[in-house]
Amino acid sequence: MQGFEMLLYGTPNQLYDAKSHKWVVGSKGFLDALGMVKTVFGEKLTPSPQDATDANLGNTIQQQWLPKDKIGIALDGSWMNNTWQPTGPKPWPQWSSVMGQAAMPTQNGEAPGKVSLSGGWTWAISNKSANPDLAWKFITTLQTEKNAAKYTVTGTQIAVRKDVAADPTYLKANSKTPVFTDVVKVTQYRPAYPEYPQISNQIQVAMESVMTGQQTPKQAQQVYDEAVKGIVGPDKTTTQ
Amino acid sequence: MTTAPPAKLKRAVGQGAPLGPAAVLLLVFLFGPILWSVYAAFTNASLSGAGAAASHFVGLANFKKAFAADGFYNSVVLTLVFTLISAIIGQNALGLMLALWMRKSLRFVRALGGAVVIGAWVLPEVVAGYLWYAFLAKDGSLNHVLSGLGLGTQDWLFSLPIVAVSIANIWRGTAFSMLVYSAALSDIPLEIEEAAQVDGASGWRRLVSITLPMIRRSIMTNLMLITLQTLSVFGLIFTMTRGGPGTKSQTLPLYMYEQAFSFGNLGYGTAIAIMLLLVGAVFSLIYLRALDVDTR
Repeated sequence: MQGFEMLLYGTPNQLYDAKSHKWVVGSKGFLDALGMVKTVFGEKLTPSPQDATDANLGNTIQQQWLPKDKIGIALDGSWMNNTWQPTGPKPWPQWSSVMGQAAMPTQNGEAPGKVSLSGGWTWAISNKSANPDLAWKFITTLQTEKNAAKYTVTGTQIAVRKDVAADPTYLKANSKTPVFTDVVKVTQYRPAYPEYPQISNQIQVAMESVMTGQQTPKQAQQVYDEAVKGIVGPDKTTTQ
Repeated sequence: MTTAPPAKLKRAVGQGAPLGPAAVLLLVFLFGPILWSVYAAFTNASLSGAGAAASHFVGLANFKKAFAADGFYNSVVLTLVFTLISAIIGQNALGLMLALWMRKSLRFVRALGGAVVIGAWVLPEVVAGYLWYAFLAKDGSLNHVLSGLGLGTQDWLFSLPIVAVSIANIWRGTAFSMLVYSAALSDIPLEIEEAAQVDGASGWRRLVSITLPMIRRSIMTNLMLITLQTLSVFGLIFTMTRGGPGTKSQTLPLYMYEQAFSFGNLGYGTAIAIMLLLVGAVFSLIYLRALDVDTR
């Protein structure tokens, strides 16, 4: 079920218009992304709808299909290799040599040519903190180049800072790291507003109805647009 | 009315005192959250956004929203189907049959049968759910057996998910009914059945006219308990299907979880929880009423 937003963000359209602070409905990019879903499922290039809706598909892909050479492309993220570490659920030391990595391309090769979406997290000081200065000092210590690099390597994360990305321990930790570090430059953020989980669910509904053939991409988009208007209110949507 | 004599009062306090700590714990950790969730059901409390910073009273808005939502009706119907198939019919009838069978069988067969059935009951919900997932999945053991026998394969987790989770719940929960009925059957004096046999009553006739009427109170009690247990099943379904595909096995507890924790609408989620409680209360009333009529 992954990948719809990666397709959408490779078009000129997005989910949310940051300038007007409104959710986008009726965009051509959304329709094209659903069209792509229809094509790949229609041509049986994907797992069957039965597999694609399986509650444990993620585990199956990471722990069986990829290591056993049963799948050609997994549209996923840098975190996947956590599964294959010696301490992970399915140790697979050869992963970085038998499997190539590539960034997701944009729809027609538009600049910057690659698509990446990030979740993201932050160190923050609470408004109600009794010791904001001490908290600031703590964060400062945490974010020295050395400490930040150690944190990133230990947590098998992708560096978002140039100095950490150039750190020898970071570069040595994983031979495929540069591939992932490189897309940080073009990465975009999902609109993680309070309504986002519900909208994300509606995207899944639209995708499932297209991949099982219950609806055409056009119909599924109309259902999605109505649902989004219901969730955020009609005055909070816009056409991009 | 006079005040209780001091000696009686003293005895009441003495007898009640050991219950004190338990009562306090129940009040704080069980009754407290229940009260809070009743309150939250009438607010717009949420995990993030405006409702998280300052939730406020919204009256019956959450309930109105539920009664206008297709997802809610879908969940209510699925919950009733799940309860009917897996508890009222499945666990209940199978438990009774097993109890009758065990009463007639040899001691070691009885011990073996009991161990197998109770083994399923002892397993944690999530383990049982995963076992059934592994059994019914596309690459699961059932399909390997079926195709080995040349019988084709099944895809119930995809095509009939509510039936698949119901079967798993029957498998897991039957032991409880079996134990209740075994205990009830052991209270029936053998002489009564023998007398009926002498009068020429067939096996079926003895079951319908003697055995079942004599354990009718246990039947109602058992129905009530397994209905309430089944209404709140969450882990088993969540492990097997996550409520899917789509919402095809999303019973009320899963709908409530999705609304409250995936979408962050705590107020709406607790409103669903209260309506789940009401569904349980309706079932309980029906069973209690049946018991009441029965004893009159």
